[in-house]
Amino acid sequence: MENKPISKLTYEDASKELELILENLRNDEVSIDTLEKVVTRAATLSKFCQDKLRNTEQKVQGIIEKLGL
Amino acid sequence: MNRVKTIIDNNIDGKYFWLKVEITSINFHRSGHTYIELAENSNGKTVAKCKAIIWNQNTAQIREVLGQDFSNILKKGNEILCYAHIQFDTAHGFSLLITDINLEFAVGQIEKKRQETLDRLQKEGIIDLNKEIKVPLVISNIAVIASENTSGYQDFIKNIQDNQYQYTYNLDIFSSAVQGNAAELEILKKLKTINKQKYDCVVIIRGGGSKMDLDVFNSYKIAKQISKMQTAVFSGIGHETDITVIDFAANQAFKTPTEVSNYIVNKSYDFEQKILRSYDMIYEKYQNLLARKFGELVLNTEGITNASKGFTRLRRGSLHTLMNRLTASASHLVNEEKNTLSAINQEQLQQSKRILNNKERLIKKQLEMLGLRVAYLINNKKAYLSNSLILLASSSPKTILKKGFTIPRVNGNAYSGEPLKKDTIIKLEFKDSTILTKYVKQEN
Repeated sequence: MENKPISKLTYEDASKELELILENLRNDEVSIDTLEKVVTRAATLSKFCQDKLRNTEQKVQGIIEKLGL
Repeated sequence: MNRVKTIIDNNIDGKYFWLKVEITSINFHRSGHTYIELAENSNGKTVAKCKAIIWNQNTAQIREVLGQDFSNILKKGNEILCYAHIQFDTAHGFSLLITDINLEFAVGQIEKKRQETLDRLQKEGIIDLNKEIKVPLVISNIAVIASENTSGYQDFIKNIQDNQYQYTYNLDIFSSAVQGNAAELEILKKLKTINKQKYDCVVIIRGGGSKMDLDVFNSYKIAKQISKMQTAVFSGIGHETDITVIDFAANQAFKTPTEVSNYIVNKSYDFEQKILRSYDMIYEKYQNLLARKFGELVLNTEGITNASKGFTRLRRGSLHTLMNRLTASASHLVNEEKNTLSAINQEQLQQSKRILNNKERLIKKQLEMLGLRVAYLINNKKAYLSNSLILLASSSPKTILKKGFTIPRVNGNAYSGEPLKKDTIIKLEFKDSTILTKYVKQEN
């Protein structure tokens, strides 16, 4: 499984990777040895996605507020 | 010749008649007498000629009656209706003596000539040429043809310069005679000069006067020059009732010089009002547009905010679901492994128990065997021991002593025959006694 650095990911990349992890988990393609690593990666990706969503929402709010409409 | 004079005088003296005739030349003599050459033309050809005289007395009378129009009527080329009688002078021959001139006829002639000029201009297709020139929306640079000392000129200048809106105009004055013989040529010359320059309009003005006074403005040449002008010509000639040829040839004709100035000033005012109205309209439209666009922007922005929130909410939901599934899958995987492991462990435990049981049984057996063996051994040993005891008892020192043997001891220890120092005390135990002896030597 590719492990790009989180900082170089887009939201879409991260989201796709999460789905892939789920798929792999469902298809028993993850060994117990790597499970922890995979779940940690998934958690990191999820956090990244959440942050990105929150940041985007805040930024949009900020931009709108700056417009002063 | 006196005879001729007598006959003529007798026959026609006092016989006056009206005569319509054209002046071919005229001379106002300093004596006050006026000498005229008359002719009658038909189809452009002179068919009759005659000399005529207006005596100084009659000249003065006619001048008084005609007033300002005197020089306009009595001029070369004019057709006149005159009241005359015939005189024969022996020195000068025949001549007509004119005593009166009909003003109405003269005016009618002017009117007739004016109409002819108009017809000619119409026929030549030049009468409306100046009307085709577009007048600028705002008139600023104005060429004025006028006689500077006339009231018409002063009215015009005052009215345009002191206008109530305080507009300023660039006025170039082309001073010219506006009546008399020189007027036509001067006006023509000024128009030609003006045509070499750039103006917004040309104004030709002249105050009120008699029809004869204004006759210069019926000039074909001036009208033709107006048709050649690059600039619109405004005429303001005479009074309200006066209409000259130039009024027809001009771009626009006004009744008086004041009206020309009013038109120019009002045009400026109209333009200013139009501009102000346009500005107000533009400003209003701009405000409306701005308000509308602002409203749209607010709506769009709200839309974007909501859409953005919805967008992130949707993704957050997806992410949440995904993570739940992921966690569940991971847990499931771990549980499965745990189960597998547990099964393995269980089996291993069973196996171990079996082995242990086996081992236990083996050990028990072995212990049993061991017990038996120990018992056996013990029994053996016991038997041996009892034999030994028997043997021992038979070989005890006491028994031995009883049999007459002695037990040597050195320093309390049984002596077994090793070499000793001389005189070492050896204790010899007997059955009932003990003796002390000294070591001498070892025998070989």
